[in-house]
Amino acid sequence: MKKVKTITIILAILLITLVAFGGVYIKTKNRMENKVKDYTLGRELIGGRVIEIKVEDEQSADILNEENYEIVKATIEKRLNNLNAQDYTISLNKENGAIRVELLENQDADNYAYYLVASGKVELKEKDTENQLLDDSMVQKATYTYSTNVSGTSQAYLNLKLTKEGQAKIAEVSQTYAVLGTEIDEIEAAKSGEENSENTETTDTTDTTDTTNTTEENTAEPKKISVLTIGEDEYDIHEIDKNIIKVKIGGAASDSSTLNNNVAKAAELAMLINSGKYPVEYDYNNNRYEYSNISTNELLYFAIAVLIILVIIFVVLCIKYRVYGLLCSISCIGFISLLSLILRYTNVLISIEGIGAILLVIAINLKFEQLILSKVQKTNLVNEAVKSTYKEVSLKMIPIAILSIIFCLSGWANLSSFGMVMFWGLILIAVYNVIVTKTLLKLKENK
Amino acid sequence: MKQLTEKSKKICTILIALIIIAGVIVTIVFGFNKELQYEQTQSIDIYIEQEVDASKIKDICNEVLKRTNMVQVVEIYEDMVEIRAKNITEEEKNDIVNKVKENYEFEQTAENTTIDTIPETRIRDMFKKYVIPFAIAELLIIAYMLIKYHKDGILKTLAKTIYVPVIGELLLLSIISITRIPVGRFTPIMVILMYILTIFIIDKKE
Repeated sequence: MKKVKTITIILAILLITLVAFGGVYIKTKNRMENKVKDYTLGRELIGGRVIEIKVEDEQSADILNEENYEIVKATIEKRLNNLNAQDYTISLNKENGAIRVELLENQDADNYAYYLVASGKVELKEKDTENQLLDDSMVQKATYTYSTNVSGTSQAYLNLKLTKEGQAKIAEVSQTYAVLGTEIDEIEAAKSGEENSENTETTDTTDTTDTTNTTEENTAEPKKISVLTIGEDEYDIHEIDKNIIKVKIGGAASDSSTLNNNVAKAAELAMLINSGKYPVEYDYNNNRYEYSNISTNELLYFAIAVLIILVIIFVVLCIKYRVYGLLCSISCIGFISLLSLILRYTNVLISIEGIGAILLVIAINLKFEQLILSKVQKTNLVNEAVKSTYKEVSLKMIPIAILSIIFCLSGWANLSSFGMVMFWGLILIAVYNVIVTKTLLKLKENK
Repeated sequence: MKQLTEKSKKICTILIALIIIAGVIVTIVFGFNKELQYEQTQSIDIYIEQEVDASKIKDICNEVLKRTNMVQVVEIYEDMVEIRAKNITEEEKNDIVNKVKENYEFEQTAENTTIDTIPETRIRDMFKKYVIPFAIAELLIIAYMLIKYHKDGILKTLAKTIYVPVIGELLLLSIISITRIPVGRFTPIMVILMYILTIFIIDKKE
């Protein structure tokens, strides 16, 4: 019975190993397709987005200097941080100001690329003359919010907090200009009404004098229309409250997805304004995908080298601890296979740091098993050996667990990769060895 | 036996000190040797118009440039390559394009291929994102060590938990500097593993 149990466990390990390293192939659309999820690889291993931006032509030579290029580089970094970009490198050519940004390729890469050159310029200007009434030097900070009314529709807003100078300016501008969206709508509606009535006048000759008089009275002191632009787009001002201009972003939304899009847009605009503006205008030079220069063959050679080292360790274990060593080696193969499946199905990004963590987890597991084996060899009591090894190792793993958790939360892809692999690896070591390794050794012990 | 251990400890300490001093001198004089992809390099793009075998292009580049170079396949259709080296002369550029043309049929000629400059990435830009998580982890580990080994003396434990990892990292960086191992993608994992090793050493000693 024990023999059957042992064989069953070994067969289960073999099956997991086959699935993990061979895959499960099912015929799909006339071709065999591996149904086992692939690894999510990091930028250094698979490649990433490379965006090159260059200084726009026809700009004053006075602003084209290293200091300004450094400001642009720092602003780009701020923008990427605010957009939660998790993996990037920025390099600057100090001579011509060209900037090269390498990013992790994912669904956000296009968005990041857009914000590398997007302008966060805030401007309030006269609609007809383009006369500037308020500029972004008068905006202290931008935040975003949304509100929901009783009918259930929600509206996203961008709040522009003004400086003292800005407050004075907006108070002055409001006297002569229509600033709020509602005000502008009213004036435009009146204007179009006026045009309509003028058209009617030309056809109806009898009431000409009366109508003209009425129109003159209505438009005695019309406010001029102003328009607020952020970057290239125009926005409506909802209200001005003391030092805050509340700007409507998108229309009133009755569903959560529209609201989410509007709030996201408001957040991005706030990020753009807060990160500062570029002293030099930039434009795209290149935006392309570059594969890693680490080839699949190089990764394969590395895997073979690791495999050879593992085989040597397994042989040593078998020689030193005989059948116990063999069982632990088989258990370790199952551990590696299971870890590989867990990392794929938990979507852990595998970077070079992640590969290092995989090797570290395997090494810790081997050391763990070796400790159990040496204790079993001395006492021949599997339960006691496993218990005392857990006691001994668990306290030593606390610093690594701390490091792993902090790295998981770091928000930087390469460190998260290390942290996540270690996190799953340590959990697996704790669970797997008590279930599989201990059971295998116990079945042998009782024979 | 005890005398021998003391002696070997002393030798070890002197050796580590010497390596660190040498490392500091080499770093001050020559700086770190960066991986090519983080150095200021010159590059040429060749649009081959068909799926390209990067190893074939790499062989051509090795033959023509005879120095460290990098070949990267560009765009999802894998029909373009970017070749990077510290410097590429006009003659080398022409040689590379013509040799690639012997293997593939495409329109781009050596004359309309330009040599571009790719700026360097500063070491502090490469690794600054690692500093804060490392510092937080170190603080928490120090706190843990102080709780675990408070009976051995708080100051002693505190000093050990700080100086052993610092010495370990300095030793690693000195070795990297002296042996001219390129600093780049593989450096962070070396630093992390060295840190874990030093923490194990402290834990074992205590």
